[in-house]
Amino acid sequence: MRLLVQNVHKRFGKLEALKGVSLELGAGEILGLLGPNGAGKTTLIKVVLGLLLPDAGEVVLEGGGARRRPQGHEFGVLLEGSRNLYVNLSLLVNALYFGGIRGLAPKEVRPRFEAWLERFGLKDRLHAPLASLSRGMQQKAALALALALKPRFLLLDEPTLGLDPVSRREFEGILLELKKEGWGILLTSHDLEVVERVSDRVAFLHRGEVRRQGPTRALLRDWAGEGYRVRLAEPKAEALLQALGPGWSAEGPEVLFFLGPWEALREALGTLPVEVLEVSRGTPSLEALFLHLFGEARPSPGAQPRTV
Amino acid sequence: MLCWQLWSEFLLEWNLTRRYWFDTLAGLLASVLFFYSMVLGLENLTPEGLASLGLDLGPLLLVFAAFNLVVGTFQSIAYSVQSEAALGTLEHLGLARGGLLRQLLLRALVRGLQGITTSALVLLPLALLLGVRLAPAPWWPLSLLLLYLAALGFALGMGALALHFKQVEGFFTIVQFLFLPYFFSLVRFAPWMTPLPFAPGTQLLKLALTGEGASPGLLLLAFVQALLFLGAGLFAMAWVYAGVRRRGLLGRY
Repeated sequence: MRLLVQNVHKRFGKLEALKGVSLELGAGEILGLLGPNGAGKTTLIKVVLGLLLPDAGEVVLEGGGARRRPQGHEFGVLLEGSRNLYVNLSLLVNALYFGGIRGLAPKEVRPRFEAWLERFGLKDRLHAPLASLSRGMQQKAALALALALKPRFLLLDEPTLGLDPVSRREFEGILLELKKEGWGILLTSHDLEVVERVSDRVAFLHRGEVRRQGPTRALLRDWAGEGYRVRLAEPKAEALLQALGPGWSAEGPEVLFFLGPWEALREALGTLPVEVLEVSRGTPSLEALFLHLFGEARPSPGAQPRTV
Repeated sequence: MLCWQLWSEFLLEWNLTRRYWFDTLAGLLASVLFFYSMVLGLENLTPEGLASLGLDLGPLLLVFAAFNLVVGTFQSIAYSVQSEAALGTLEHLGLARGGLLRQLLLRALVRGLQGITTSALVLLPLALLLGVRLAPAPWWPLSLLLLYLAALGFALGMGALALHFKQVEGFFTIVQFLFLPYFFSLVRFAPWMTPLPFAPGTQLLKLALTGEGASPGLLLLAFVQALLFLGAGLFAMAWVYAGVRRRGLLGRY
């Protein structure tokens, strides 16, 4: 079963929010939908869910030789912010209610919901009001419910927003497990590290248009080729950038990335005033590509990034 | 599947009533006190009491019950839309099987049943307190149903307003203030009032609960009015829902 978004257009007055967007998502795959604020990501998700009517184009489910318009209840959804569940009611009541409105009996929803809660370490909070849970726990509870409703696809809009690093890492693990189990997931997030680690493919949306899309690794490799990632013993990456020549960029406080020949790297490593823990081959980060497309053009390699 | 959608609304209502039981009880008491103080006021208006004003306590009480039911019902969908939009869960209701409209209708049915129970809980102690004797005719549920369906149609229209404007409390206050004198004018029912909104249903309920017979014409008119209101309400709601989905206003508050 595949979810196809075909040539979708949406206009709000003078603003053309979506300009012929086409995407596809299959089972067992995570598609990262990326773009700056106002790019049209949430608008696209709402069109897929049927909460917003497109001006042109269509969203179809294709599989088993049939094509049809999906219904909203076929999706598991995590919308941005804490607006997925009733905060004043318990997790169980929320699960039974939202399962019920999708036509699912309590005996179907409850065991599945409890199993997912157990997996997320929240089983003991089944009868607790949602409001008594931390933000991260609420997000996990909402995801547990979305999964318990046994949807065909998961649409997750900024699922890691406001999560602490530990919860974020847990969430990432959950997404990878779900992918292995065959769930098709559309993920929008500004947490590009998470998207880079979990997504099979990414699509960059800008002002309602898909600027680039493709398999994550291939997209990065085709953009700038392979380079070297240098892990430092101290968080001095930004400070060192000034002294290093072209081709260098910082991917974090302790990580530098170099696009260029090995000989040039070896020479530069000898001059670094910080201990180097590890050097590995790799592509630039998704964040670098994001910044290249939508902001500052980093990394600033000696060689220009290749155009896909 | 539809039964689970209906069941889920009962579950939600029960949990909200349990969670906010104090406010539910206070609301009931407020209705009883509101009517009782109104009657006391009217009785003290002249030394001869209500009779000198040409008012009979029995019809007055029954019209108040009808007013309670209609006001409770007409707000139900709109307040659901408003509170769900404020909580941010309205879009999730839009993902219900069959869509938002179906789920809101099911919620309105559940709230309607709750409204009928509440009206009964207000009516019975007041009847006892004021010495009003009720003699329900066997067909009283039909009169209640027709009045309720007309109110539901009106509620759908108000729900449509809430879908578009989201906050409608101020407007509802105006409607309530208009409804109060309007309904009380139905206490002294005259034949020319028959086609007025909610008039045939209210009169039918009044006759049914006092054990009097109703003419087939009144019954037919109440039926036609209920269908008209319901049809118009459904049309308004479906039209506005399509509009907000086109304009991207559903989740906005």
